[in-house]
Amino acid sequence: MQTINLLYKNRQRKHLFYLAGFTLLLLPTALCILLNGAIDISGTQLLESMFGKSNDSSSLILWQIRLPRLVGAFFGGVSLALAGTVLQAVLKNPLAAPSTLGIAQGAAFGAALGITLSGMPDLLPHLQGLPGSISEYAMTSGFAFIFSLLTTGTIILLAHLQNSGKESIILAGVALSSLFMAGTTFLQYFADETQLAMIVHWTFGDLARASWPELYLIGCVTVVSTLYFFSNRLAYNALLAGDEVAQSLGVNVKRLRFVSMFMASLTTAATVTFFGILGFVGLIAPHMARRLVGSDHRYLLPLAAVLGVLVLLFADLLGQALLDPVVLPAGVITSFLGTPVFLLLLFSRRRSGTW
Amino acid sequence: MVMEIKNLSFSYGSQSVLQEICCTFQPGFIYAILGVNGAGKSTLINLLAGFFKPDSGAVFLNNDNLHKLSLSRLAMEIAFVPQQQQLSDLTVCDFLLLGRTPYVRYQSANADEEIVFGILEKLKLKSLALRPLHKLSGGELQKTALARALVQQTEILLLDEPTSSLDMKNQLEVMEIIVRETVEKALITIITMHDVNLALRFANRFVLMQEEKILAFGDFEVMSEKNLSELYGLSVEIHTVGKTTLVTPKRGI
Repeated sequence: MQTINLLYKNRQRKHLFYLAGFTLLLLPTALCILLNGAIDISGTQLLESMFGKSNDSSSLILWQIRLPRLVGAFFGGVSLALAGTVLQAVLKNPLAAPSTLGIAQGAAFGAALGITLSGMPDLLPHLQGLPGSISEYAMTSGFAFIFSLLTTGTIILLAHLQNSGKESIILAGVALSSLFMAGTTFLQYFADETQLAMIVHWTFGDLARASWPELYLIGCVTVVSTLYFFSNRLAYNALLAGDEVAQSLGVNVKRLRFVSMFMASLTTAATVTFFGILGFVGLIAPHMARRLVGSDHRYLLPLAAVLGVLVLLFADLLGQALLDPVVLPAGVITSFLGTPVFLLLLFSRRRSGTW
Repeated sequence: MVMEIKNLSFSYGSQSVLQEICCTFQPGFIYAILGVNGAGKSTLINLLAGFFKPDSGAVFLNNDNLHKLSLSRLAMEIAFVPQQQQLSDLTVCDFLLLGRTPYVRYQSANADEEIVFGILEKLKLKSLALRPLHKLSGGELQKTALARALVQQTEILLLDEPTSSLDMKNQLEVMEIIVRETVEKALITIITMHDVNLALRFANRFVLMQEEKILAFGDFEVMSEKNLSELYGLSVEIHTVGKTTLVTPKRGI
């Protein structure tokens, strides 16, 4: 009796150790982000700028470029990783993630549509009062957001219509992805050179793109969804035992599945709209966490969130260092990382029958 | 606690599955629901678990309509074990802890863990405590699923074919646990079963279901050659070997 208790506590301690370790690793990584870039900033300059004792260019760089990048990586990493983890839980499919369900591709199509339409002001006369750059920006983001939500709506509808066989949801996601990619290609074919460049550039997920007002918005959405996900961590655990058992344990399975998918897509939509496509973060981070602490969502959710941030920060640093002085956007790096992980998941039969 | 089914009817779309079912379940008894495939056994147990809503009639827990209770309240009254267990990499300990979900507000307390450890000890599953679910054998998995339901500490236990995929030894072990807990905690235990002989050996009340209706309901008296022959649609013989009653089909191959 005493011994199981001890063994069980030890196991929990090990999980907490992973969590604490990776959280601590965030600090030096964050520091690297703040210190590295086109212009060198020293440690003392960093401290002076942080606490408002300096007003020179380094302070400007820090507050307007590096810090937004860091905060962006934080919110983006947390929201994409948690969205992936939760989608995997409610769809019972290890391959579920924002990028494999077509949500990101939907956003890319929306952005391309926004860029193309804002090049044709005759079509939308009521926008003509606004300065060109603002209306263009609003249209790009607005359409990206709407289309990522539309994709999710379709996925939720399909999941709802087809109560069993959740494997096919991923296939539906693949179908939607290729539909939206075809749509984007179609728009690219008719776009002029500037628009083409904008469309292509939009799809490169880049942490440097968002500035403070957008970060506030992403932050709010991330905080709300994170609170929802964490408060339901035991319900996600119950779902591991099957829908019927979860319901017999008092979990409203239908509502949990619906609200979770909605929340996951909302945070993904907000992140993708302002950063572009940061492919596979929602797949890599949850699976790294799963390898370390298993599927117990009490530990899986926080660890996946921390790993999501770390993956984005490393991708950003790697993007800066790899082809220096050319800076690669983080999205390019995460997509490169994602493909092997995706294939590994597909072809290595996990030890369990289900995961 | 008394569970009472009153005039319960249910259909899948236009296909009627249960018609005007009535019966009462008392604490301390094991009720075996018997019948051929498609007689409505599983549908009935799903209705009792609250997964389906009846077309007409109702199920009462004391005086409360079961289908009007909240899910969390229901989870404190009724535990359900499905026929097939869904595998995951949760350890046996963490899986059992799921049984405390209805009671946990924010974080499971030490008291919840003590309940889990207690059941593990009682069901002799201690050595499996930290093993992931997908590494258990069929018998261990079924016992673990049963343990999870016991951790839920409800007065009603619903089991859908708990022994159908087990070997003889594990069948006996699982049924012995069910009998012991039912008597000790005065549970209402309702089990759907295919194996008439296992039912005769361990259950003490029988619900014979045929073509959407209850053919007979009661104690050992309803397990007559006549009733069972009608239930399974072939003539059977009842033998008594020592203390054991055995049912065998007459038509041999």
